[in-house]
Amino acid sequence: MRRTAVAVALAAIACGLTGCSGLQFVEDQRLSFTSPADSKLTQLPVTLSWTMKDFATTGSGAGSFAVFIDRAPIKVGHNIRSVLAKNVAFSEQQLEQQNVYVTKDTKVVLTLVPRIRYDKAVRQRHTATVILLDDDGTRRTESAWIRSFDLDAKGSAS
Amino acid sequence: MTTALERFSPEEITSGGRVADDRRQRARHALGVAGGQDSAAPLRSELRRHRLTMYPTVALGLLGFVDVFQGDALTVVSPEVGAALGVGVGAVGAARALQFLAQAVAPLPMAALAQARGKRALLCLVTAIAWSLITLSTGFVTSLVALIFILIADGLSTGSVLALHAPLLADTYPPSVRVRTQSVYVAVATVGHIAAPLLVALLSGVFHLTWRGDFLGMGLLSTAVSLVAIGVQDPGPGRFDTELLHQAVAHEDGQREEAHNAGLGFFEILRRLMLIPTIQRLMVGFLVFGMLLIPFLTFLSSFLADRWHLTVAGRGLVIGAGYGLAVVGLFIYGAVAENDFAKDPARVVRRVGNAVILCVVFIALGGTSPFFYPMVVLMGLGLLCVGITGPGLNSVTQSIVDSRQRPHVAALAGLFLAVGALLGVLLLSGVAQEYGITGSIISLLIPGIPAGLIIRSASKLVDRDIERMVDSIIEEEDLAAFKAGGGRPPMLTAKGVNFSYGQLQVLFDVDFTVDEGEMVALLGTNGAGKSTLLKVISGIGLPSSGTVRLLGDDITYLDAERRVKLGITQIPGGRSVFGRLTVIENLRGFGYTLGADRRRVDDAIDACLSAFPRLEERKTSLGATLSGGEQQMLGLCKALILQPKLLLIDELSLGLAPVIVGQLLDLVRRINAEGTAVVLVEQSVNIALSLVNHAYFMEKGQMRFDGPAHDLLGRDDLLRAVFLEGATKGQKAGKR
Repeated sequence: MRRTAVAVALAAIACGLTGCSGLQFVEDQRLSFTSPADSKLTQLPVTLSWTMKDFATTGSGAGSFAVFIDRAPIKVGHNIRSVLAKNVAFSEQQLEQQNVYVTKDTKVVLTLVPRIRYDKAVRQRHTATVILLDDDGTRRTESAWIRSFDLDAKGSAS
Repeated sequence: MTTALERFSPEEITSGGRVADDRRQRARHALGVAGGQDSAAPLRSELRRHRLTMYPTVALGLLGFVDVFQGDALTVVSPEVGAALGVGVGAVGAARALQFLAQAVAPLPMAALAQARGKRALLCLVTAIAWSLITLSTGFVTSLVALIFILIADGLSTGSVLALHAPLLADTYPPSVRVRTQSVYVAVATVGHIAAPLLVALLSGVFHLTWRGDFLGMGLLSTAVSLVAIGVQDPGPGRFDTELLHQAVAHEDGQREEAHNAGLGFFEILRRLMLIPTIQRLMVGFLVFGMLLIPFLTFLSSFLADRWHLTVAGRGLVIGAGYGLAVVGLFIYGAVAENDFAKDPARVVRRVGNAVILCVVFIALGGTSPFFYPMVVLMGLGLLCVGITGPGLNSVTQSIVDSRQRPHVAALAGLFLAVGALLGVLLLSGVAQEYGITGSIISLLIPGIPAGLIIRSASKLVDRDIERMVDSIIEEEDLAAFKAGGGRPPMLTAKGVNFSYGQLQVLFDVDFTVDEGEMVALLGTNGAGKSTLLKVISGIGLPSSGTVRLLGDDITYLDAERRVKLGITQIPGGRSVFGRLTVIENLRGFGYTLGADRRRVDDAIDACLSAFPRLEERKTSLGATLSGGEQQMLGLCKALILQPKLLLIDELSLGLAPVIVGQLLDLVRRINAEGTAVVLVEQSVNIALSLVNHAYFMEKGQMRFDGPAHDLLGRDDLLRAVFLEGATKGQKAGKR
């Protein structure tokens, strides 16, 4: 009896902690990067581009892409505004200062990529993570696409 | 007149205090370390001879194989996990660190569980299924908190790998194939490191699963593979060594009575293990080796990415090739080390020490290599050297401890490695920030070379520790034969006791025996080791070697409080009362071990107060305000309350007036007359020898005299050096 109770309690805790819906077990292959090549040594400005299927960025209810450079994307259910502090007015420039780019296009041009301070290597690896936002700027799915590219540290902003 | 010691160990006396060499040789043969130049018999024929198969090795190896799935897969997909959960890779890394901490501490409770419940094979299976299901559930986490929870649970469940697999294998196979089976086990488990990233690549690349799907798939596979171990049986501890060792040294008439040793508790076992010199040295070696091992495996991937700009797939290939080399090396090493082990186990330890040193040399050369392929080969050789350390050291550590303590020593090794690893990661992270990843790889030389040297130095201790284990089993067998022959063991036997305060050894091979109801005097100079010997008997101090037996039961490593319950009470000289408690409170304190029997304590306190009317008068006074004599009276009351089988009194008469000493001695006589054996440590020869028939004399940590008290008076060579010569002369004159 006691063992059953423990098992039920554990199952409840596990379910509560993990949630039981909206999880993605199969890769979302709608997005494919076109540049730069994975882990390629490149130079500023870096053009990060991709192709996208089955995702509308125009018309009513159109979504957008959010690109996070060297940082974690927002959690599912969170709005892109959560990247900024509450007392900061929302603007694309403010987001870019946080290394976050929001676009309806399928590319962003990175003119500035900050150096990774804790990494002493001359050739530094940077990571871009693309996620999808709804028309309200909220992340609705777990889908995320990651592309790494290398920059000569001298070519990055300090 | 025969002494108690002679009555107890007749064979030892007839062989001039030495155990017959042939018994030792038989014992070493049973342990599989008899020496000789013959090569180890082929594995297959040895297994056939013992009617064994490789199934337990492979099955446990497969558990080790799936054990690494969770951690290795997470290393590969941590960016994707971070992106899905909306947390940085650093946060995922921190969760991994917590998993590692859980892994580090988990072997200890697992060893405790195995000690309490036995059924090690079942524990291995259950924990494997548990971690498989945990791997599977990783695919369902939606937050960092959930990930941490899952990873800690995984770390805790995998404790069985370190604590139980090696002991189970050591007990399943005879020493003649032990290193080879351990090598095969490690090789199978190592393949997991190659398979895990390949599986992720397969599940992601071919089946297009996300990291969630990867964990789901790996969890299911892990569960299925774990079920392979369903047929593994626990043969019980010591089937192929400790039991054979007992048979090998048993008396030829075959008469024996099982020794009823008080079982050691979990922490008593850990403490006992840490007193074995080889284990002590190896644990220090593991600590330093851990500083090299885990950081190397962690930083290697970063090194390949940063220095050689390899993608995930490229890094997986290089590391996989390195592990592949290690697997091949393990099969070759197993056969070589088996021969070493049979000829001289110390050689195995030396080779492992050398391998550790070679390992860091390869890593440093690989780290500085300007060419890619030589770097791959050198790093692979580094991994090979790391790989072979496990089977060699497992075989040695598992062979020099009591078979029931094998899970504990394995758990300790894991703990020391883990602590070292944490220190190493901190050290190397700092180095990486300052000098880059190549600098941190080269800096592995700093812990690596000392680790190798420390492990190497343990080789000098192995043989002595095997001899010690053989001696203790021979002693048990002698005792069993003695009991079977109708003999009754003495109240107390301390045999071959060595004791050190840190590096300072103060007892040297001390033998000491007290018969039931006997009162003996333990005499000697200041600093001779008398009080230390009492500490060893009462459990306040633990010997580095030797045994202490109470009525034949081995109590050498029991906690002091357990010895009180068994009937040993010590009254320390001049420090036997609690100064801040009143007389009555002190007496109640002494009665604490009597438990809830308040009435018995009250009766005992009444008896004390009537034995010493002076204490009755001062019963509300604080202990610190009592005179020296009153304090000793109060101390002696401990014996009246606890009514021990054996009472150890340290320096009863020191600094007291003769009239007080007389009163105290009367009580000691009374206690002894009621059946309590008494050990009286005294500086005053006159006092001691007026009470006892049997005396021991210690000098510089050695027992210099053991015999009738009056014979000691004739030993001017001993007494003159210590006590007032006049006193002994006066005593002799008086007797004439």
